[in-house]
Amino acid sequence: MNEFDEEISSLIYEIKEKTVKCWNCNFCFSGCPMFQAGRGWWSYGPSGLTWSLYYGIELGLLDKSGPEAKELVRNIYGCTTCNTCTNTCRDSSASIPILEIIEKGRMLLVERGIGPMTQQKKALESLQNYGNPYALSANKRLDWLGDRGVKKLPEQKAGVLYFVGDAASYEPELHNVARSIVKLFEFFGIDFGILEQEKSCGEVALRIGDRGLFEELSNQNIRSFKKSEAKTIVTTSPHCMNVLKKDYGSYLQDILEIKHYTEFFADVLAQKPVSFQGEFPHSTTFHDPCYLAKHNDITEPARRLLKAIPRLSFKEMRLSGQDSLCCGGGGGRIFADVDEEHRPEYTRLEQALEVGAEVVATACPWCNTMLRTAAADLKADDRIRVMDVAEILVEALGI
Amino acid sequence: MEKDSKEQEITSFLRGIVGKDNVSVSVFEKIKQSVDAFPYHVTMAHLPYTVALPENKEQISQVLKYANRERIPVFVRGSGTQLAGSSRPHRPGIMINTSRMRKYELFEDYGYIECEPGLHNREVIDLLAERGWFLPQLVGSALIASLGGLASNNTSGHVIDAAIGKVGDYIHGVEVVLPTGEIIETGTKGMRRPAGTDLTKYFVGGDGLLGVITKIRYRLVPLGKQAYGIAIFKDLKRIARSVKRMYTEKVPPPLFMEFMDHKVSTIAYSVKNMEPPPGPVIFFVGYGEDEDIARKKMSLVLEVFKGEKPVEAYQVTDQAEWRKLWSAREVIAPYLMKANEGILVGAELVANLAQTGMKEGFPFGGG
Repeated sequence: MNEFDEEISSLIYEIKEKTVKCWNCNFCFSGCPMFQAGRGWWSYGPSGLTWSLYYGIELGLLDKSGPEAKELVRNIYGCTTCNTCTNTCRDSSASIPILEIIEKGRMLLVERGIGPMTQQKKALESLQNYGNPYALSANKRLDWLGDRGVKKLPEQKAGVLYFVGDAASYEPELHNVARSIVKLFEFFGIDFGILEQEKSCGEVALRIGDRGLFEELSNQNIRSFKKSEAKTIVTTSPHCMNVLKKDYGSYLQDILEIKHYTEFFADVLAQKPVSFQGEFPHSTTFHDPCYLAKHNDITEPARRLLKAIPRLSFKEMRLSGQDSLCCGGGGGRIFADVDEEHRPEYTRLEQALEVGAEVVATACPWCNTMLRTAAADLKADDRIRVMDVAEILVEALGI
Repeated sequence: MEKDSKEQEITSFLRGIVGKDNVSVSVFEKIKQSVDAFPYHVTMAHLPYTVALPENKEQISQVLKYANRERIPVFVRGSGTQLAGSSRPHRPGIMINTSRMRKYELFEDYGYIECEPGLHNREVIDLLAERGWFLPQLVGSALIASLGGLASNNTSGHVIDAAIGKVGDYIHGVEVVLPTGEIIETGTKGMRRPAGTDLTKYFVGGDGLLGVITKIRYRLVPLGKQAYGIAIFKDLKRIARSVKRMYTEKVPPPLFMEFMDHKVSTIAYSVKNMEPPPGPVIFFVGYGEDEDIARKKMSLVLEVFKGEKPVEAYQVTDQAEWRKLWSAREVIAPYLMKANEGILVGAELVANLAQTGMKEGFPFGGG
């Protein structure tokens, strides 16, 4: 058996072994954004996906040309990877690693040449060619910075390495998020820098199921991290933070502390109270990014930051913290047009409108994009603004 | 081949009734719609010809008229959480799933709520609780169990009949599509139930055999307060005698009461990373119009239990502690099934354990 066959056999074994322990209680459907977004099909939701993989293998349906394989790709890549199902199963049922099975299924579909979705294939090609999923030149990665002078690692040295990430680097609407985080570093007097040649963290490749590509990208970043001699990495995106912590290998965590920026600045603020010179007198709610709340149980830092702002009236949505509703942008969905009846981002924006918030704050570039799109599509952008917590802090601090 | 042509014919007809987007011949959908917790695996020969997601009673009526005329079996399903196999098809037919029928109308001035069958137990409990009302139904699968299935089973779940009756006592009427396709409405919209024969009772608890429930009318009940108690005994006999005493000494029965013998409680506590209790455990919930009444009822149970000399017996005042204790009981079923070749042999957990020959301790590794 060659290495490729061994890889496939091992994936098949793990998918079947883990799935068969599920007792079909269906509790995992209760908070699933994908099931809620769909028409009510039970194959379009957590244990619907795992059992589809199981029987797809058992019945030999994972043939490239078969209609079942096409359907499986559509369903398996409909998952937002928000982790609600796994948490529900852990708390209320048999502790099946549902998301892990789905992700192994994606790897299997990629290995078999069936997955991912067409648009996601383009994102993977771009990651391979340009080091980012947007098919934009690596030279444009620092455009967001303008002529602002910051240390460039690893040639220059700094204690904190700010890992900007693909979305904040390349999406013009998100440039202000990265600039705001830089302003916060400067305001608090933190010795920080960014990588001269940052590469994608590779999370998209990993979530879509291309482990090989992920390893290529992560190895390049790891080399830069080591050279930089930084002690802490602070990320814009919860997705980058999650993948750096969990998939870059434990040795990275041995030499570095990895934090999301909301955690980092909540700690800084606790040690160094500040006076807010600006104004942010708006009723504000917070949308928890899944890769903070549902994957890492980080729900409080962003709230602590927002609640520290004078005259900001904080409103909690009905679903919040670990029970929050996913925006629908994770798991590579941001790079695909998933045809669903009730889009998760619309439902989530409606929940923010329900509590009468003027601003919905988030701390993830993709949540930001998803919710902004929802506000525009629902013609609600005159009633509610989508902002990143960092942007709100900058406005409130008057910097 | 014969099945294929039949499938095509049925599917084409159903598309005309419920719309092409609401009909599926996907093998994955058919499989998922054909399994529940007992047993694990699907019987491929029983897969439905097609699965339909109707949106209203008229569509269901047309499907049933067609199926009746063509002699095609029809299976109706909600969330598939039944533990005894009744949501599984046992031969090819049309599978109707109610997951698109999720509307409700609350008539607070008239004292009732009307719900479509695809709504889930927990979401209706929550939406009523927000307005100070109580749904007297809390099943272990509340997170996802559909109201249609629950009404067909007339199950109250953990709610003790002796305390407040069955959920059927609060269902004042249903809208049903009969197998002939005829649509009927039973019961009353009034606060009092009709005297004499009430057709509602044929459908609530009718296991879905007599028709498809398309709307359920629940009487609104004011939401009360709860107080929690727990007692741990040396042996099961003391628990049995305690419960008997509760009835003979005329103590108001608790709203919920569940017990676990020592083996089950050891597993359940270990799953939730708690120190295993020193013996069998019984939990109970006092329920009343206000906190004092709830506490009083819980204390009465506690006092009567103390007569059987428990190792420990106390009120649980910390909500987080109660949730943890209760969730230990709630998650136990899948672990017991695994110990018993994937089969839950009876309604009560302890009965399952007796079949396993399981020894003391926790045989499954970490939770």
